[in-house]
Amino acid sequence: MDDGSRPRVVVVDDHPVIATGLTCLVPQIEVVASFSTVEDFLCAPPSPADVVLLDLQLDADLRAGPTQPIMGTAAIRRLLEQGKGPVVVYTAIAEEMLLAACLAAGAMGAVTKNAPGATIAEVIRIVAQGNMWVDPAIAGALRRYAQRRHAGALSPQQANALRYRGQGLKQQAIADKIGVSDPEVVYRYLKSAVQKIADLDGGEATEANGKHAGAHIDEVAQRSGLSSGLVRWTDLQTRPDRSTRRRR
Amino acid sequence: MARVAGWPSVWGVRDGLLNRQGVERATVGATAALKTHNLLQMVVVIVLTRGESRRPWLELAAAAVFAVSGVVLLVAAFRAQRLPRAAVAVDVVVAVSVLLLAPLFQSVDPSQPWIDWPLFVAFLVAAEASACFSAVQASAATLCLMGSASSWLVWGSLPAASRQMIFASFVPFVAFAAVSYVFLHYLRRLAALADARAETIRMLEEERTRRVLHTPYRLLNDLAQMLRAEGDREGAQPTSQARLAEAVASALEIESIVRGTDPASSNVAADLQRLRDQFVDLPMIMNLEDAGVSLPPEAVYRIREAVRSALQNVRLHAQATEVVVYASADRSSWVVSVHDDGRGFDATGQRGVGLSQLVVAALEEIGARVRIESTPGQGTLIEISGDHEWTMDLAPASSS
Repeated sequence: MDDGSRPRVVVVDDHPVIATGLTCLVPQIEVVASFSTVEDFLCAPPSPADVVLLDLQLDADLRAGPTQPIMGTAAIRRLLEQGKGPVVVYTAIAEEMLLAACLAAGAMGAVTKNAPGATIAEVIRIVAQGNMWVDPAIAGALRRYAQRRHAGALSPQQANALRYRGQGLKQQAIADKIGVSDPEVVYRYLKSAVQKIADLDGGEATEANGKHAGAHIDEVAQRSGLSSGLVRWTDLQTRPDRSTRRRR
Repeated sequence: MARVAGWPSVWGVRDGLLNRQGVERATVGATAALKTHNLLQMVVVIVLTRGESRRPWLELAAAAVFAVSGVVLLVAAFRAQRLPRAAVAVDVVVAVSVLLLAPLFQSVDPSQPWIDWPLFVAFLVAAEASACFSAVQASAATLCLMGSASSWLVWGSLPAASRQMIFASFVPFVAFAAVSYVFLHYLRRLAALADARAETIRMLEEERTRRVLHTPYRLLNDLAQMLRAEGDREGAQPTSQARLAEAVASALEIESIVRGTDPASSNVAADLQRLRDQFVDLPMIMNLEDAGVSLPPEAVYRIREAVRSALQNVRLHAQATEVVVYASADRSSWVVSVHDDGRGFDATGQRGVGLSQLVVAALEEIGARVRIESTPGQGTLIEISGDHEWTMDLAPASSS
């Protein structure tokens, strides 16, 4: 993305109207292509995109079909493996632990469909610049999760960045609070905090003991009743290549 | 009990002496002062007249028994916060005995009538009896003391000056007893009336509060029902839903005040969750840590009202696209914050905007600290924090 230009976005959503609606709702972005499934997107000729906006549930028209479309964290991993990304999850499900699991699986941001246009534009802009967007609700959920299961695992700066983000503070305000002069450092702290929490869960996992990476995140998300089948443990088991950047 | 400003906080005196219990406490205090003075005077007389006593061992024994009786009386009185009848009765018996024995050890010196310590210490004993006995019992005790003092007249070979002094002592016996009886009964009656009036005023005030709050409570209930009916008919909008929830919550709070119950729980997170329905029109994220923190309901109520006030302000002025209500705690402190990404304001020039001084003062009363950070165009952070007694261990929340 060139400075000053609008981020180019590929929308993967089973409701085509979403792509059209986004163009009107968020004029700050340019929707360059839209697909109903991840498979369609992967088979199509490469689109010059800065961000892939991915709906988490992609089975609206295919529920009765013989094969289930790829979706959820599996879709995130497949896109990253194919060099498509960075991925921003765009979903109607406002379950913060499910969204946290998406970040653990490699997504660089998650935004709910009832978010205002300005927020969607900001998320896409930040992710297009190579940073991770951590929603305050996700930051709060991850902080609570880390305190219960991995108390003391985060560095003080990571924990503070997560705490202030959970309070709703923005990049510059967090930088002022934790005493760093470069606001970009805040994104790095948040990203490393998310990755460390995901890696800590992965550290406990072995095939022999039946545990797996992100098992608890998955468990919490499953228990909510909102995310059945959307979080796949294999997607959390190994670190995705988070350096995957856009393909033009 | 009415609190009297400026009174010293010794032995509960700061709570005032304006009731029956206060009169009894004051009586004990006065008796303690006079008794101490009496005993010191007795010691001084015995020391100054040493060698003049007919039977020094008997005088010392009598003085020791009287002193012990007096100390026991005072200790019992301080513990019971009133003059105990049994201890006073013992004191009367001891004083009578000392007076009866006095002719056996008392020196006879017409130039020093003040050395008759058994006589002057008995005046206070007559007053003690009047302070806690019935009129008949007090009169009997006073007559016994006076009769015992008369033993000098019968057995003692006293000079005329000493005889006159003993006759004259009958006046203070009667005066001490009568004045103590009348004055204390007057004070007790006065205190009983004050107590009765205070109770009546309290009940009237409660009834008045009930009546004053009854009308707005009924009106709010009616309003809530009308809003609900309108919402059902036309399809409720987020704003009207929020206002409806606010009206219902206000009605419930007034009801709890009228009934004298706490309008809040002791769980900050659970109470703040109750605000969610009242602000469905705001793009709000609730990041509440249910960490088992337990605060007094009064504190929780004030925190919730402060957050509500902040959210109302966001609704009216901030034009925010994101509002985050946050609550967290560790083992020694808690923090609750409201952050919005709206217009903000110049916090240096307009202190208190967003959270009225009244709300801030109410929070500071419970020992909370309030910090307001805002910059025009950069949103506003209102942070309320405080210390707490940790009552439960951190336990995983039921969800998330």
